[in-house]
Amino acid sequence: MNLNYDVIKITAGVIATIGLYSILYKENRFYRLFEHIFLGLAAGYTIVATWKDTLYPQWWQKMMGQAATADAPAVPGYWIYAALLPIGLLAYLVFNKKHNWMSKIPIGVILGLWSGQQIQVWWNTWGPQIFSSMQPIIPTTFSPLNVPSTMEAVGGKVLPIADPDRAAAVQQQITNNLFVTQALTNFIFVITFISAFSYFIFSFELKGKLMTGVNKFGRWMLMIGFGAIFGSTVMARFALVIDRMAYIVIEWVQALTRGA
Amino acid sequence: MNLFPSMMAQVVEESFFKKVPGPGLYGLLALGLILGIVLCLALSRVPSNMRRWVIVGFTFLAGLPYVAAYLWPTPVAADFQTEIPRNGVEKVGFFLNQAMDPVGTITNIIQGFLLGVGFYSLVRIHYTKVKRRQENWGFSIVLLTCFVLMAVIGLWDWQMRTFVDTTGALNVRDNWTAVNYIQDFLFEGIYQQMDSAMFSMIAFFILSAAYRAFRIRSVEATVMMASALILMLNLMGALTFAQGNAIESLAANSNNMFLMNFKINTFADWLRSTMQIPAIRAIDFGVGLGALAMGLRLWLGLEKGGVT
Amino acid sequence: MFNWLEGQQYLDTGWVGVFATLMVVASILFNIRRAEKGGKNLFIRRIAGLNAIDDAIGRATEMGRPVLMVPGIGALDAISVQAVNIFAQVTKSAAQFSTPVRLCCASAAVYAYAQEVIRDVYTEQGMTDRFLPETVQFVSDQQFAFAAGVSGMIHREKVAATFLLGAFYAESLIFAETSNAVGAIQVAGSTQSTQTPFFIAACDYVLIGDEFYAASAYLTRDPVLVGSLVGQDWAKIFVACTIMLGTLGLSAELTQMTSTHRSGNKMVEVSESSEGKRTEERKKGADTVVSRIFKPYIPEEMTKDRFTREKKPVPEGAEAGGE
Repeated sequence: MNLNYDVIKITAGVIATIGLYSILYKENRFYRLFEHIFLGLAAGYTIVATWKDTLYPQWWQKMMGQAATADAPAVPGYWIYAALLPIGLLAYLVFNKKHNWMSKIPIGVILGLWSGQQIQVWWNTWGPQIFSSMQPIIPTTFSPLNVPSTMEAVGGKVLPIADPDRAAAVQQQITNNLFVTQALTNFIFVITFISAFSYFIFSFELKGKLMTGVNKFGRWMLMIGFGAIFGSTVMARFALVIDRMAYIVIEWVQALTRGA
Repeated sequence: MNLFPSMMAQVVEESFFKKVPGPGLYGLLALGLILGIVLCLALSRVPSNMRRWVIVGFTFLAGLPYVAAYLWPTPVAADFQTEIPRNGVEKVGFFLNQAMDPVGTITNIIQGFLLGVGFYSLVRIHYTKVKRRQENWGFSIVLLTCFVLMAVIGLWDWQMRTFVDTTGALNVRDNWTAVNYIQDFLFEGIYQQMDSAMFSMIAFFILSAAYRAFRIRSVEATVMMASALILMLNLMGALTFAQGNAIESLAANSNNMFLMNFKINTFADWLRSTMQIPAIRAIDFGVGLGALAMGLRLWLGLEKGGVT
Repeated sequence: MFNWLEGQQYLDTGWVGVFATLMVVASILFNIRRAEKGGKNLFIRRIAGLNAIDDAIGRATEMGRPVLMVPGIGALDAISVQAVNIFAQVTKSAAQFSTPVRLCCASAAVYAYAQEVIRDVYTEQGMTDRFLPETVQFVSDQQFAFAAGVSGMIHREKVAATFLLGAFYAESLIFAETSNAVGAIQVAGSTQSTQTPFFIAACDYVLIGDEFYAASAYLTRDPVLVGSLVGQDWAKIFVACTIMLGTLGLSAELTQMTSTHRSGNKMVEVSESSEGKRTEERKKGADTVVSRIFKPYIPEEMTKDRFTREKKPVPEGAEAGGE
């Protein structure tokens, strides 16, 4: 029974996967069938998940409390939570021609809570980022110009510095100083931030060569940033395809051969 | 209005708002329900010129606890659960801090209640399709069937696992009944697989998008794709290994450790920390400010065509 | 400074956080007031993606195909509200040309809100009969089921223009590329900066970051929105100046020497930490004025149990904090 069930389950999954993939060729009846199955299952699952993860633990259980048992004392329930039900249900009046304005009450409550939260979290999110955007740009030493390496060349190979005293001295030199290259990197960081930021100033007309230049430079920096995100995501997405292929080819074939 | 009583949460002992299950609680539950209904009925009689203020009022009250909690000085080194506030200022601070938790759940609860509004839309569209025998009505039947099946089976399975099987026997497949099998088949067997399939399809779309982006001959597109290329190469293990080795031997032979900075990994890291982070931070900061401004306008009811 | 109201303080951020937040709020409110009073046309720079709206609708009208709008997959918050507000403007133009629209929602609460707003647009235009059940529809609130449903719709209805504005995540490319496959014009913008590059690669017009929030001010020129935008710009300029000044101050300070370092909420003598080897060292990041402002120095005794509060009595039979 179990063996057969596994085969059926994986086969169904594989057919569903191929069904959805078929849209890459063109929209067809096979895709349409699985799209509707997917939407139906998702809707059903949403009901289950909403009750199981939200309404039951956060509303029903808190409202009803828990009667005392042999090894646990009773947990009292908040009866006022019952009043949330009619208020939430006001949203259903959106379909009513006369009272549809009342559907905005629960929507207003949700938006009000969200808005209050924004004011509360704004600084906690951005304060640290403003702080970390301030970076030292004046080097404290000019010799050497770049950060000394903690590696050394030994017989055609690059290895960490072997002599512990010298390694410690280099480390000390690195922690105590800001080198020219570091200062330059920090300078690029700050300039990138400021120029990219200036792109999002909407209400001042940017006049003059300097301002338009900064703006253009800002856009280029944005593009570098976007490119970096693009490049780092591509590989992660391919990993997903490989996982699917493994599911179809390896798991399914294994299940079939075991089942036979 | 109903917000304030629910802020009384976390008080340990039984209070006016909090009762141990029994006739007392059920009576009060009915009272709460009636109060809510009465409030709604009363609201439905609000004259049309006052309606805007009702909605603005609800929105403002909902946001107030968060703003108040932010602006009110927070008691230092206090345990809100077990300690008694020393003075009036602390009392308010304690109250606001304890209120955060129950107020936060209100969003989830109301969003949960609103779910039906969406399902009404979904079911209405597909039911009409079936009734009028519109194009693709057969698929609509499939959708509605799957919907009902998944909801019923899912809740049944949950009910069995929560109330009937309290020992966790159902975690072992040998103890499954038909309901558990169907639930597993629908959820793990089909739904989850479709979810992963759809997610993985993005890889194909990324290829076609990248191909088109590479063909655009603007400076900006070139800059973007060049940076994308460096980061992509950085993630190709064999390539970075070979390039890293080449650089290392070059550095060792010329005894110039500065060359080590030209390893593709090092360069990609530098690119990310020196250019990606500040550029993206600049965008996100603007977005955060936009959200704050929008939140402020919604909260104070200034947004026209918004909530009001 | 920290003894203000004995035993109370802004422990996490010091006064800076509250000051900065209130200043931003004040500059927004002040400019809204200014814009409302003055009523004069405040300048907003050109936003390319938004000028494309009319072109896109014009094309849809010529082809006799619908316009698709997706307000992202986020829950009901300012992002979805902003997206729906932009879509209301799009719908207004579309309704004038009798071009059908499809607004697909991934959240029931957003659906309820959009239903109300879009219906109002049709009512204002005197076209209540054109507002159909499928004009605004809820598709699914599961991310990829939503993606599958909307993709199917894009293909079957052969939409002529897609507006993808709001909080998009991984599914952004599915919509953008599917729309491209049926030859639709795409105007897109995501508040998630991780998705913007995909929109840039795949879509015709893209709103980057904050342009999304500026859009409704740009389209409606409503004084409240324009004023708020100006206020946000003031805040941005203030932040940029703070960062520039902070950078300079920090840089200058880090070249100086000090005899005590700050370590968390303690001050440590250099001679003590270096075991008498040095009496002076170069200042570290934590010693600077900037760091003291952003990470307030809270004397150790403030964080300890300096105040004794009475304990609440634990009632019999009830567990403490019994939730």
